[in-house]
Amino acid sequence: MDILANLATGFSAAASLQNIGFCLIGCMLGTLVGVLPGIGTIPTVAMLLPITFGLNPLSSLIMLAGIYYGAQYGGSTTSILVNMPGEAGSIVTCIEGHQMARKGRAGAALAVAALGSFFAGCVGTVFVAGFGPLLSSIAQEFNSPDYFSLMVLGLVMAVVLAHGSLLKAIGMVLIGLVLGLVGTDVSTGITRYTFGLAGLWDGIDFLPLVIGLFGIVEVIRNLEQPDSERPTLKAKFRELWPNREEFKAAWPAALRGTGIGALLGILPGGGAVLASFASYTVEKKVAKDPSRFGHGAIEGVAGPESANNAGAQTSFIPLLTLGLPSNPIMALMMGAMMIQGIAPGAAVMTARPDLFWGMTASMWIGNLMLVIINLPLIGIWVKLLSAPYRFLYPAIILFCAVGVYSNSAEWFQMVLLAVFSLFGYVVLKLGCEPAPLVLGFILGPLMEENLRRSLILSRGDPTIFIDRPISAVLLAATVLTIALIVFPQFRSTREEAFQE
Amino acid sequence: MFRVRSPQDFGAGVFFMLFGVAGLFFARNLAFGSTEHMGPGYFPVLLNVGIVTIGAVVALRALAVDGPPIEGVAWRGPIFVLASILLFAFLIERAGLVVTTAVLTLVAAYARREAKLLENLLLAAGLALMAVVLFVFALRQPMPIWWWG
Repeated sequence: MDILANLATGFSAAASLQNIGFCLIGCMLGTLVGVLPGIGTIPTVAMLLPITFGLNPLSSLIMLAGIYYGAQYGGSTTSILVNMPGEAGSIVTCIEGHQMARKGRAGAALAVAALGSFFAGCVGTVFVAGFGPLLSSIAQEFNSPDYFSLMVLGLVMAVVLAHGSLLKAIGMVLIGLVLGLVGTDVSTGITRYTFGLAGLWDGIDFLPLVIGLFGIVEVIRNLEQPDSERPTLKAKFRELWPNREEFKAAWPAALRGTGIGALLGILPGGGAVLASFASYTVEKKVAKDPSRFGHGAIEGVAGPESANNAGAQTSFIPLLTLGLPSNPIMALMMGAMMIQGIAPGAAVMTARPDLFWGMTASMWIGNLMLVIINLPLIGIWVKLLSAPYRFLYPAIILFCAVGVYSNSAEWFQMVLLAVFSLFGYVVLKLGCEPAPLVLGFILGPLMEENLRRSLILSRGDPTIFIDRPISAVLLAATVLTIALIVFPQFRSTREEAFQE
Repeated sequence: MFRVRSPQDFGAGVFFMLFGVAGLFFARNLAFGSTEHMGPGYFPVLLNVGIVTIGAVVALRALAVDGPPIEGVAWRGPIFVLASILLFAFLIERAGLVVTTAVLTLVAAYARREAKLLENLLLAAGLALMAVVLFVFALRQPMPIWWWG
């Protein structure tokens, strides 16, 4: 019954009028930006990150989580209505959801997405409440070598699950790790890679990096598509609710999706994107008539959307208990926590139980709000969707610029923003994904510190990483993961999965 | 002689190698230390050697395996967008939020070849108004509205 008592603590922390207010604002803003065509979840969260910094840690994290759920929900709306996936996670929703929209079932698709997400969100919250303390107590046993191995495993899995070339993803992780080391070395006090610039002494600021790589690069990329290629609203609305048959087909899919999502979300490197792909594949396999897929099968919306949300929820578990961000969104969350002066990890649960449980409770509240605000407001979101991009993008750039500037009031950070935008554009042209870089950037200093401590402990003997059982298991899992990719059969499955 | 069969990968490989070599070069004065006592240069050198190695493998592979070309780069977009950000950085403390927002909007708008002046002047005025109301009045960000503060 510990869980209940803990959840009660959480709800009393999260359910203050102020926090509910921030949760509501977060959900609204997230949906508002997420629904705009051509802005995916990551850019939305990156852009809105600065506005949460002025709040106290719990409120700011609650608002940020609200922004995340809202952005995801907004992204699904865009996918269903205009067939424009903001990011990888909603590609799947595009396939079936947009076909439904073309048949006049947009309302049903949106409602199923919202209800499935809400259900998944409830289950996800219970998962976090149940698994969180368990993992956190395991994490209490962790020592430097174990943390180092954990981070290696996390980065390797993130690379395996990224799209595109594995080698290039590894390269990007390494570049991220190096960028994370810029600034003053904590244990020797020597500055590295600062080029005599005082603005770099404390390291590269998180905001210009992520807002440049995700926000600005997204704008530039969208500008490269000619106007005519940008999709227009083709959906027709007849009724908002799914009919009886649709509902009957949707709920088992939502159940399966929730299960898949909750489990995959916990994995390092997993999270919402992987979960929605996996759920779609499963739905196609279990369907009595797979030929309906691709022509507006409602299971193909209900399953992945639920999986998406459950995964989004449970991917907080490794972050909050182990301090390991499993995907770029969690890296953003981790960055926000560190700016607030909280070191994510097992200590959060013991030192700041109100923070952990408050966030867990706010996840549920956030999901409830999404259903409440989104079903009636769909009309407004639809209007926003038809906003032409030529009016939107100068506003997006303005938000990015003000966000970076107002957080530091230094023009140097703006120059960094421009530098990382250019960097992001170059790597985009070279077919490299920026997501692994951000994970590396966040983990860089932590990895170095844990490696250094481990080697001091062992007097320079690297076998410490296989002598300690926890570390050995984690490294074995890492080797297994690498072996699986090199193994040709699995490799082709991975490629197939991404092609679908 | 060799032929580049996958320009995009080749470019990425060269990019990684350049980054790694620069990383090693600028770490040359950092003490490497020993395994037991890692100096400030230990981890950076390790990582950059990794980056150079990956870069070399990616580039060499691009000579053997066919792959996608590097998509055409339309410099107009990035140049105008980056210019608008840098102008914001330069102007915000000198000219205040209204002028800065208007300049950012106008410059950013010309990232599209089809930009229309009148439309964008209206947009610039609208965004400047919104910026002042939202950022200064509502969110109370410390930014001057005009050049006199």
